[in-house]
Amino acid sequence: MPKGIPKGMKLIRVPEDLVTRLNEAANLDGEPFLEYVIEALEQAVRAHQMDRSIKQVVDFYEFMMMQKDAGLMITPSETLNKLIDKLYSSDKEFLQKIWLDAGGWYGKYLLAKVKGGDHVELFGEVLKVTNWDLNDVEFKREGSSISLRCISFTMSIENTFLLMTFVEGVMNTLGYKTTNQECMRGMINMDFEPAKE
Amino acid sequence: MYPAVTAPKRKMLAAREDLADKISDIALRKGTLYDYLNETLEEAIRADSIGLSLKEAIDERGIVKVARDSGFTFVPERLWFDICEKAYERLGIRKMKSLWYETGQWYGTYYGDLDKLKDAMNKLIWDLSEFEVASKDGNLLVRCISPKFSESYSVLFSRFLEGALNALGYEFVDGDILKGVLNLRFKESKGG
Repeated sequence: MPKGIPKGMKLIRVPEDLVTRLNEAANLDGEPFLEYVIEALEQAVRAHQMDRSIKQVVDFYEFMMMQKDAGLMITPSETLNKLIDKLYSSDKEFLQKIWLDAGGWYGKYLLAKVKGGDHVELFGEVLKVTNWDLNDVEFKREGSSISLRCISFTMSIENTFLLMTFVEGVMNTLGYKTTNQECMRGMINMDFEPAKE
Repeated sequence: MYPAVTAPKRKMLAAREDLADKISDIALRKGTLYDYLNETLEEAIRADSIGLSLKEAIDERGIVKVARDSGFTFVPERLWFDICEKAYERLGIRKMKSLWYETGQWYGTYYGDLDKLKDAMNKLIWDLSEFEVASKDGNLLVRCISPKFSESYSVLFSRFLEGALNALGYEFVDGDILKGVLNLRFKESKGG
């Protein structure tokens, strides 16, 4: 063992500038350097046990914070589905309007919150991460046109239709008009083109 | 002539032996130890720079998984409150209260433990600014505050809690339900 290494410790090699920045970060937090590094490594092991990298974990957290900021909440899906089921036949237009408005609002949030970057791609991620009923979400670009395909093996026709309405609200706000839309139980196919100014 | 390529300067970092070994094992499956450490520690600095601890980030991931596994879903809150108000108007108070009570019972049974229910409420119901459960003189006092709850939604949420706590062996005694503020008192059910 090299001289000067305390018992039970090992030396690992890292870039010099990284050590400097770790030192600065530890100082800012008022934490001893060694404890700061050990905490980071322990959390990396924890993330690995969840089959994730630290980067994925941090990205996910940022994403969830964005959802909270955007006014999303977590609610029992069974209750939501029952309410939709009970209201759909008598108040379809009302439901359609609030889903469209919610989509429009969410689109505005994305535009305001994320400066630059690809808002459509980000919205695709939102659908994948927050819509747990969806098994597949795919945005495809062909020139300036965009097509979207969403698949769910469990979604009711009512929920599929309302999700399509929400997507339309978001995409319209992001500057796209809907040129085609098809909806059947658990499947959405939509095409968009940039809306003319 | 090619420009001289210089390798980045490296330094040695001391880490606990057991941890260094675990990290080595993980890194070997992903590439090199050097690259893995580089990425991990860079992310630690990035997380820190946005005011986040890695532990908090990993905990959050676990919470979201629990939410998903226990049948919760994401919904824009304005939409959720609008739909509840409409349903309140259409279906009437009795049906709505019964629906919330049943949902509460389901979650009470699912969590099966008061501490787990408390934990879930605090972590999953983002709209709650306060959720406290305390035992006093043989009673269970529940205090819950959400500035976003409407008057009718406050009533529904109290029924949700009543259902959940009934499933855990407590019966409702009395309470105050105001817009966004709930103070409820329960006692242990006989034979519960």
